[in-house]
Amino acid sequence: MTDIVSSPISTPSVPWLERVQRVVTAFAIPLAFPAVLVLLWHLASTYELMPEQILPYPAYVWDAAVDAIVGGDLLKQISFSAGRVTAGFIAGAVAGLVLGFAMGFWHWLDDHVRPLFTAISQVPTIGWIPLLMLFLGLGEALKIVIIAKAAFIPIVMNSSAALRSIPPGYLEVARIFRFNKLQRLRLVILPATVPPVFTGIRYGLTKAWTALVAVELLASSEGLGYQLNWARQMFWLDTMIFSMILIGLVGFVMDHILARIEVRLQRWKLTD
Amino acid sequence: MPGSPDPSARPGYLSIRHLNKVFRVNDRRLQALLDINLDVEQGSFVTIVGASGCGKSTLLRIVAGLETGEGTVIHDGKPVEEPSLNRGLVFQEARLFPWLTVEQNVALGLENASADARTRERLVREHLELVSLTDFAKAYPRQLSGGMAQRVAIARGIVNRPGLLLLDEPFGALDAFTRAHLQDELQHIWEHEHLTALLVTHDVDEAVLLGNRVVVMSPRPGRIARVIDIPLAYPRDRRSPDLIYFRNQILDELDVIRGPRPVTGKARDIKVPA
Repeated sequence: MTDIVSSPISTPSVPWLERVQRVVTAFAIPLAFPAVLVLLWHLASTYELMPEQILPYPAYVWDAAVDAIVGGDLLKQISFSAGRVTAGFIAGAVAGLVLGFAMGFWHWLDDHVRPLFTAISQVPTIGWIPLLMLFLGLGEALKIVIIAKAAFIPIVMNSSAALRSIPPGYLEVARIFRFNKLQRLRLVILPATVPPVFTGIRYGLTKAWTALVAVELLASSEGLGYQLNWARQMFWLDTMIFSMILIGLVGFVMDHILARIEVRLQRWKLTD
Repeated sequence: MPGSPDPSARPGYLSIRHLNKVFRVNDRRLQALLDINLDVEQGSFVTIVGASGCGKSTLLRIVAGLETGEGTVIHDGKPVEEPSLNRGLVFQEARLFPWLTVEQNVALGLENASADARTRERLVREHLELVSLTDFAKAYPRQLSGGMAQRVAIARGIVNRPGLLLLDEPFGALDAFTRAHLQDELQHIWEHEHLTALLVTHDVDEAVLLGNRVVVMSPRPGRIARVIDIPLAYPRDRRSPDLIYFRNQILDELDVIRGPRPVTGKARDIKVPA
């Protein structure tokens, strides 16, 4: 055949040296910039560009982190926050997927719901806290509803758009082969909607995590957001900075896990 | 065919009678097809050629059952109202599902066939062999070239052995070398697998090379201008001078060539670059 341009998938054995190189580049490149920032931070503290009470040494922040980890306090705060974000995110994601797919399937529903939905989504999550505080009090319900709402919005938007964006050509192939509804769902609609829906889910989780911190800052007596705010009030800047880094890290890890799942679900997109 | 008993009752026969199709575009009526009458006998290879906008693709889509027109379309003794597994369709774009491997894409054609798992596996394997893609069974569509993707689409279209294979400009998006290659492969497949094929193209050479009957269509409104039988044996060689005779007839009919054009300017005025 003359038109063969690519060869079948093959995984040639990689020499160990090349593998080491790969690991180095996988970690060295993303970590280089943070390392430079920490160095600048250290220099700024050393030359006292800012008073130590405001900008503590990186080493102090590290010590605060070690203390929190050893004392077990950190695990407690993380588990509080993680429990809330899990409950809220699952509630928001399920509701978001149901409404999003329903809006994608039924145009009349979309016509009725979308204007209100768009208006609601324009009010930032924090803007909902005062009203919901009156309805739900300061308890767990408030936090979970706020987190669920934050995850809900991007998931609805992406899953409703996903159904509309299935190439009509694929649905014609399904007609030619006389697929029934189930076959159409299994072979065309679900695989075609996985990428945009998953993008919505990832974005929803990021939003949920951000909302968690916001609601914990305003109305909570435990969790990472609370720890951050409390450390500021006590002027424990090392704990405060450490909390911020931790919030970022947890969010990064969660997004990374979802990204891995995403790759698994769409292997066809990434093979070479 | 006057005189003979109704041919549309014959098995595998496609009969189109007084087919019209009108599109409505912004309150304007657009006659896409005007009084189309066409017969395709079992085992034949009919090609439809015409300029873009002559309704040839619309005609094919009606035969496939993807669209409806006014008039009668009968295939294999039954009126065509919707798609049927007895009619395969290969589109201009391969339209492979990117989330399925090559063999899974071919197996789509057997999704609703009454064959057990082992038979399906065998049929998929045989058809991948037929289009010389056995080595690519586990590859994903994005790893294929355009020509390879189109061969998968052909395998998917015939794996269920439809009584009629419809091809809608199947090689229109390919480069000239790949196209020539696939045309020869299609001749071979059609001959050896005893298919009945109806192919739409805007490529006159392709229509003449492949068809034992060429239907020439003209646009606005889309209608059949002429039907030319080509009684040449298969496999045909594209270099054969016999094909030129038929090709010229079609070009005349399509009014593509308007004779030698008057030369403007004089030869001595043209400066040859040093």
